[in-house]
Amino acid sequence: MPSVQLVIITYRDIFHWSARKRENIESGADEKSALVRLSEADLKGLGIVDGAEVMLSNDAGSVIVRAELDPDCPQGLGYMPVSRYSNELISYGINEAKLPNFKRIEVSVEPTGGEVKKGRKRQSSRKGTTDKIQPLHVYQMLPGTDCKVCGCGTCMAYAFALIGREKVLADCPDLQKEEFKESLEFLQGYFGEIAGEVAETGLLIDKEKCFGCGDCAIVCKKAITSLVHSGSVVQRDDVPPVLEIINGVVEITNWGSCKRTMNPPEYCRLCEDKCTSGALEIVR
Amino acid sequence: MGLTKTVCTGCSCLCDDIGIEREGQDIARIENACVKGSSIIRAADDIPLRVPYLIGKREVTLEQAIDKTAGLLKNSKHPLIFGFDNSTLEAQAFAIELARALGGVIDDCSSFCHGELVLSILNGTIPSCSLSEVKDAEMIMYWGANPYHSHPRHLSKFSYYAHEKYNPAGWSPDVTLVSIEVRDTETTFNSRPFFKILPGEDGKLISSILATMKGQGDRGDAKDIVDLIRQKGFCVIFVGLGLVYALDGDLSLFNEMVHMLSKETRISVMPMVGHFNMRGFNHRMFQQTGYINKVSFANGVSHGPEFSMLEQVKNNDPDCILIAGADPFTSLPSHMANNLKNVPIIALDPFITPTTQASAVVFGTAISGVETWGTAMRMDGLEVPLVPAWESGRLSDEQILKLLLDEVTR
Repeated sequence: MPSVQLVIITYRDIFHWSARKRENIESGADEKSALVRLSEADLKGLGIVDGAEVMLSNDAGSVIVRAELDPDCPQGLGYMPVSRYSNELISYGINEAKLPNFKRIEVSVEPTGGEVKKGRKRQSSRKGTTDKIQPLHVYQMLPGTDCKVCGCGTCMAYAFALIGREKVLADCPDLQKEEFKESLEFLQGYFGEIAGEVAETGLLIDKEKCFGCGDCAIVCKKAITSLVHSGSVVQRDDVPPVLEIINGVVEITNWGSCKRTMNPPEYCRLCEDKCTSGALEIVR
Repeated sequence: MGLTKTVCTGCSCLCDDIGIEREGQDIARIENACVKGSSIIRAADDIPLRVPYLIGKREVTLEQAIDKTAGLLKNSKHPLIFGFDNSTLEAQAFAIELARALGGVIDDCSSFCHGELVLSILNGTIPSCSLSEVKDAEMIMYWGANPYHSHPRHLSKFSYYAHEKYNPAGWSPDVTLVSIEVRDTETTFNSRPFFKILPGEDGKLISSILATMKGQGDRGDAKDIVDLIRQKGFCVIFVGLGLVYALDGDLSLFNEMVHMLSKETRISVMPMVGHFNMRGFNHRMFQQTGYINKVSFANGVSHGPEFSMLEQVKNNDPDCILIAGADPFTSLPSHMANNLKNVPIIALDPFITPTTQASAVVFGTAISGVETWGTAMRMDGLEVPLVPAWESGRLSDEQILKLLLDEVTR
């Protein structure tokens, strides 16, 4: 049985925290907490795939958690959310440290051969440029027959329509065939089971990813007061905010204030740029 | 019903612009609160999550629970009073009084968290500032902290985005956001520059910064940090648990670095305190005993590492533990819970937690701030009056502790 030595770094996860408050004790939070994020090299070293079960053990105890691929994680390290799982591995008083080793836990990892569970990756550690899918990338996965059954002139147009959430994956008959199974699975993973409906605004909000930090709302509030019109700045006062944090997540409250609705429109993308969780996406 | 303004007690940001709208008994709308804050406010309405008064998992009246607890505390030779980081300042005052009356040990989460840093600020070793002053800073540094998961509104309400000089276009920023971290996080994504270090390397980095200031260092990142700080007129360093644990709680090197840097520019340090009133507990204890935590009242006032909750539990010292506003069964190493198996625990908590499940007596309390009046201390040391969004009729930690204190001292 292959085994790998790792140093685990624990981190706070807000979704795990709020799930604990929402769903009684740990039951609902388990899925979010019973995981360790590893590098590709370590996954290979263990001979397992993304989503496989692994056992972490050291002198303090052992736990069985799901291994998840994290492209940002260097070899030899593992990231784990602070939870009752990570607590099983923490020791105190073994070395002469003043504090328990909450942040640097040495463990050995072994695959258990259990069921592989691959969830939709909701909690990437940060938004990266790779997270956002590009039309050409979608196009490469489409049949490329330009059959027009979906109502678009070409498959490239359909790729744009998919990203703009104007069409759904089910609109393409060829994509449902066996030979495109892999593409369909990938696209379903990205767009979700129901390839989303998006409001007229073209602003897509993934409420499960949003922290409610309000960064988008505050930068928008600072930006909407000045408009650039043919080289000169026009000040607008008393504009109601476009975005507000309602019930813990961002919501569009006054779309009319957005610079994108002006005539001529100003294609501002500040809210999307400043959103670190990747919850906010301007799709068209 | 209209919008009620309240203070969120989800974390030590204590955001005071939260609006709650109720329709009958249900919460219809929560304004401005982040995921963390809104989930705690919503949980207030979630009956299965809330605990009643319990003795050994059996529901009892308040009087029975008070009688039982007073009996346990009075018969205890080495009581330990722990927590109160999620309680109001008023409740903390009663807790200290109770510990004094019982001659017991009192400690809180700060003994394995930000305690050392709060002490350094309290005794004037290192400079700090208020969150409103952060808006004048020229450099904001997060060291070992990821506020998006611990204090989600920190950047938008108090630091980077709330900064007066923050320009959304960002061509020539007057304020710089810097992170020192071991992994890529949401905070490091926005930071320019971001210094990525190896786990546990923080101590070495600080030594290199000190050496660089004396003109001897050879580390590139240490040189960059020093150059950056020297260029700026006012730098605020937000210290997260990443740095505290990397230094194993010994902040002398960090303090020396801050001291050295202070000679060249204005530096302020602020702990990214997790629990909403942990700093309040430290301040209150400091006022009354001269120490911030780890105090025993068995023989006057004595202080020492042996009175930390971790040491007490490890050595099986306490024979009765009163826990309020904390959940040690979730936050401590699991094997330490075994040491608590034969010790009667009295827990005061608004919600069912692993701690309340392991407790002999449980008091289901009101959620501080959401359901009760009181005062709490923000991470910068500012006292914030808490305004309840509604009154649930449940007793607060303060009221229960007062009843207990009356019963014990009778």
